Amino acid sequence: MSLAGVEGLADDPGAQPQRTMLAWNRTILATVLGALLVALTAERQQLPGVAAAAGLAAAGLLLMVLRDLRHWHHTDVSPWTPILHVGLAVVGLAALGVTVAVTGILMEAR
Amino acid sequence: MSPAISGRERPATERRPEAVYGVGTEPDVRFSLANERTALAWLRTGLALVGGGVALTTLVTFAESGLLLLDVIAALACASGGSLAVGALVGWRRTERALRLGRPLPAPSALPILVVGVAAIALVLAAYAVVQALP
Repeated sequence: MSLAGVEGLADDPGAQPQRTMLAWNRTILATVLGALLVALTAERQQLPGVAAAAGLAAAGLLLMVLRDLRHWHHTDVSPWTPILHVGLAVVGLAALGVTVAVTGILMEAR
Repeated sequence: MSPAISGRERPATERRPEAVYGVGTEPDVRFSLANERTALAWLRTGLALVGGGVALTTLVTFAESGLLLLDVIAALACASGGSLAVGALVGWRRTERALRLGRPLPAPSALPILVVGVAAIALVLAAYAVVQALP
């Protein structure tokens, strides 16, 4: 993307749209890797249901957010929908993480 | 809509959430983009806490026994990571509203909680490591 062609950002040396899209890339990558980590841990604790949920969540998130971001633009479009989707995915992963940790506590107590 | 009107002056009601885009005027694009990146950075911070907690749980499964405390810390880290993700969503809305209304930006309310929480986890883990190392 050439900055000169971006409306309202001709004098911006900071490459704002690119930086923002790279931040999206990092966030999606981190979320998918987090889901993978949850799936591996759940598999180790013999919780195939949780592992499957984490794996499906990662695949679903990737498709959903990539679809949201097809319409991403530095003006005029609200980023709320993809932010909400990734936020909910992180909350879901946190819930799965609490599940595996509590399972660990119960296995210890036994 | 006349073709002379650029995209930025389109009726605000087309964009969601209306609680944000229904008020004020369009801010500098760069500020909106910076707000978006800040929200994403908070989401990644929450993810790091969740990932750290889950990794701790995995470590515990390799040990023989007696690591109940680590599982408790892992659960707390995961729960706080989820809270930070919610805080990222709320913070994005509050900041974007303030930008549109030209008001002072809200303080990052999750920051003190994050600092205290991470420091507490670090201290507990350090104390635990010292206790384990004692003969």
